[in-house]
Amino acid sequence: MPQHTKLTVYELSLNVRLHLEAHSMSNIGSAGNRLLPRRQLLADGTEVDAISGNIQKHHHADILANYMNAMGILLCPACAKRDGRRAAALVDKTGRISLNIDEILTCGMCDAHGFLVPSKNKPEIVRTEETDIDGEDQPKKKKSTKVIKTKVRDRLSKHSLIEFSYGLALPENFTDTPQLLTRTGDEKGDGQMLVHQITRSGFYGQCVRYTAAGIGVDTNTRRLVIADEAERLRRHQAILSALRDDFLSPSGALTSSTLPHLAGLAGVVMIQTQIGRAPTYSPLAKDFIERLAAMKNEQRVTKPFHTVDEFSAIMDDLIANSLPAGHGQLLLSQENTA
Amino acid sequence: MTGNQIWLCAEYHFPTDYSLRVPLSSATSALALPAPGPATVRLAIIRVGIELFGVDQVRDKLFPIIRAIPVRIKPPARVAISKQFLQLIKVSDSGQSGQSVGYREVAQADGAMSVFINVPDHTVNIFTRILWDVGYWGQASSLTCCLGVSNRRPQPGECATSLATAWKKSSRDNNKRAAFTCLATEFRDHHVSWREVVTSAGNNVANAVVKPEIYIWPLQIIEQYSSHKLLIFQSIY
Repeated sequence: MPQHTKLTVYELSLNVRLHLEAHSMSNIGSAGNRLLPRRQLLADGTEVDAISGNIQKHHHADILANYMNAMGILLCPACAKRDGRRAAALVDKTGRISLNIDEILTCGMCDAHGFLVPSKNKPEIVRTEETDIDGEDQPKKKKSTKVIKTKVRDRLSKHSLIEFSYGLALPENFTDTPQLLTRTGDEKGDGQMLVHQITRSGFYGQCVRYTAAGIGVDTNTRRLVIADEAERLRRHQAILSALRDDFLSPSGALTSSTLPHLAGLAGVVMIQTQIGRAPTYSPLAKDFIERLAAMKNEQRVTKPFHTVDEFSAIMDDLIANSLPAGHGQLLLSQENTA
Repeated sequence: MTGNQIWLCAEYHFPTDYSLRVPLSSATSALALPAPGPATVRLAIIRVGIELFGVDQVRDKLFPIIRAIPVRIKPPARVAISKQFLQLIKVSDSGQSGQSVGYREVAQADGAMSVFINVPDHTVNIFTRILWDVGYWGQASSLTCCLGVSNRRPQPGECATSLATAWKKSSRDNNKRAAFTCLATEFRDHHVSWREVVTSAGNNVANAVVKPEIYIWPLQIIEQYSSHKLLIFQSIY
C-alpha cells in the first residue's frame, strides 16, 4: 500500500464560476404580490443579479450541523436545535452566560461558524437623599439621582472560519424570466392569488475563504483551545464535506418549488499550506483561472477544475487527504520574514 | 521613531463586493466607504501581525510603530455602491424573536486599491509580510487579496485626506476639484495604548480610541440614484 502524505491546509479559497438556471435563490423581499430579485451595481456601471453570501452560509451551517452530528462532534444546545445565534442563544434570563470561551469552543459549530455574545451593561437608577448639616436650624434634605451601569457580561466572540462573498452574475451572461404563479390565500374565502416571481439564469462569480488553521483556536488571542488533533481533523473534514455539498447541491430561498438547475461549475481551489493567505481573485474576470494558477509557489497548491465532477473529486481528495495546520505551525519569527 | 523611514505601497484586489461601514452610521442602515479608512488599515495590520507573530511580539515591538506611522489610502479606479436590503431577526431579552428589515450599502470595485505606510527601514521585511497577508478589511466577508508590495511613496492628490489636513493645505494650493467626501476613522493620536485597542476578550475598540473625521477622497460621483452611486478616480489636486 502506498503511503500518502496528507496535505496541510492553513487556509483554502474557492474561486468559482457557478452556472445556475431558473432559480430564485436570493431576493430582497416583495412589493405587494411581486417578488423582487437581489441586484448589485458593478463598477463598470452595469447592474447584475446577485446571490447573498448569507444565504449560502446558512445552507453551509445546516449541512455542517448534520455532518457534525453524524461524525460524533459535540454541538452546544443552541446549535443542536439549529439556532442561528449559536452561543448567544445560551444567555440566560438574567442576561448572563455561564460558559467561558474554552467551553463554548467544544461545540464544533460555534468553533467553525463563529459567534458573538455582545457585552451588556445594565443601567441602574440610584436615588440618594442626604441631609445638609450646614443649616443647623433647619436641616435641608438634598435629593440626587445617579445612573450607574453595572456590567452584566463581557463580550465573547470568535471569528467565523468560513466566509462567503456575494455571488455576482457576469454582466453579459445573465437573464431573468417573469413567472406568473397562483396560490390560494391563507384564510377561508381568500380565493386564488396571483404572484409575480422572477426566475433567473446565469453565470455567477463567487469566492469562499476557509481558514482551517483556526479550528479549535480562540481567534481573538490566537490561543489553541482544542488541542486534540483527531477532533480538529474531524471538524476540518466536516467543514469541507459541507462546503462540497453547498456547491454541488445549491439551496436558498424558494427551493421547494424553484430548485436551481446546476448547469456548470468551474474555478480554482487555492490551498495555502503554511501560514499566510490563500489568494482570491474575482471570477468575474475572464482569465481568473489562469491568474490564480500562476500564483502557485512552494507554499501554495492550486487545483483548477472545469466541471462539477472535477470539483467533487478535488474536494473528496481534500476531505480524505488533508489536515488543518497545527498550532506549532501558526507563528513566524520576525527574523524569518526576510 | 528614529532612523530612515521607507514608504511601502501594497496593492489590493477586491475579488468580490465588500462593505466597510461609514462610522456613526447605524448597523441596521449602514452606509459604505469606497475603501477602508486609516484606522481600519491600522487595525488590520495589528490583527494580521498577531496572526503571524503572536500577541507578545506585536504588543511589545510593532504596536508602538503601527499607531504612529503615516497611513495613506488610494481608492480603486471605479467603485459602485449599491443598497442591499437585509432581513434581520431581533431577539429580545425574554427570548422572543421578531423580524425586521435593514439595509447596508455594498461596494464593488474595478482596479486595485493601494495602501501606503511609512515604516522604519529595519522593519520593512516584517511590514511587507504583514501587508501581503491582509485578507479582509473591516467586515470579514469583505475579502481582499494582496497583489504586490513595493517601495513607492504616494503622489500628491492620489490618496484620501482628512478635511482638516486639506484645509491647512488649501491656503497654499487652490487647485482643488470637487471630490467625494465621507466620514472615516483614524486613531485618536499616536499615544493610544495597547489596552485601549486590543483586549483579550476581543471587545470592540473603544470609541475614544478612534475619531471620526471627514475625509476627501480622490473620487468623483458620476452617477447617483437612491439605490446606488458610481464613483471614478480623480486626483484631488
